[in-house]
Amino acid sequence: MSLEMAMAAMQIMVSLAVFQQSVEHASGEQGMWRGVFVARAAACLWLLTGVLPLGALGVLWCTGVAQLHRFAGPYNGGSDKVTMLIITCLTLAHLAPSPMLSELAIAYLAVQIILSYFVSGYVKIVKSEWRSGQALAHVFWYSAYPQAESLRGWRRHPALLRLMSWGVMGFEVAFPLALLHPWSLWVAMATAGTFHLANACLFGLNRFFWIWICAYPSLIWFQDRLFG
Amino acid sequence: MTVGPSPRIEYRAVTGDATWQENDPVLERLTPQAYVRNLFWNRRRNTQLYTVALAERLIAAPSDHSVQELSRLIANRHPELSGAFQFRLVFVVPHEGALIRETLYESAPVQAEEVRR
Repeated sequence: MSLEMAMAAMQIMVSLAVFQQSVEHASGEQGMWRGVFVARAAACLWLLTGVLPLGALGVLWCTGVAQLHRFAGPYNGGSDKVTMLIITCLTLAHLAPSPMLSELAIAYLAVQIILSYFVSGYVKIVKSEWRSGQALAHVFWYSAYPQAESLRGWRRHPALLRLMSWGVMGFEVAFPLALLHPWSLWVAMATAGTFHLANACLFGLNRFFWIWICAYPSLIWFQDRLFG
Repeated sequence: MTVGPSPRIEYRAVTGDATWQENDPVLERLTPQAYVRNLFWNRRRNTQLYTVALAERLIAAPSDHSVQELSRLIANRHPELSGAFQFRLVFVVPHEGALIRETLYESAPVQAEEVRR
């Protein structure tokens, strides 16, 4: 995949993901802040047209910073951080005075996405609670994350939770190795997408599902650039 | 990365029925259609997650922003609420095979009409 194609794919995907977020915010806000989120949604439609993408990305970046101010930090944790990361890297890639610097901006995004999995897996795998499945049992038992009370019953299946814990930790720490071959990368992205989908269903983290897959074209380009 | 104490946000009217109630409990169960719909539109759930983040922030680093946002979200969630109300943050943690609850924050009374928007 060429850099231009990866950037175009990410722009289309991120415009749809951020449009959904912005409409949801606009429906719950009033006054000036509703205007900010309407402007953000409009910038997504602008970006979707592909006309002067740098302008649309600039509006998304500025309204993203305003959103961080509005909520005194991320509203939706890591999904807001990855949204800003993608928008920032795309903006820098457009602003870069040379193709090499554009590549550097998208490579930075790809490395951050790889690290988001690897570091997350590493901090779990060094903890005995995660290796035994107990941490996941606690998530279902008393944390605020299950999006329905009926899901708390999962804590009564320790063998399944241990298997799930090792499945998640295994794919996360092994994710960087997926770069070695295009097919292994596709398998890793499908696995990661399934993981985000499960989190969306079990814990209501729908924004994480959409925004992480928006960055996957950077991984496809990066793998091709390194080993293609 | 371990699972820490988990916050529950509760509120009560200052006058009249003074029973503490959970602000926005999760639904008992979801239909398959709801799971699919929530992938595309999940405003209530995302608001719940934001209130959890605000509760954790308020304990870790108290700020007027967290108090004002929690007051606003509770007042908006319960349009029937009028006059003064309070909220509290109860943290749930396992202890010897059972869950125990500890109240770590209780707000001063706030007027629902003033914070609702």
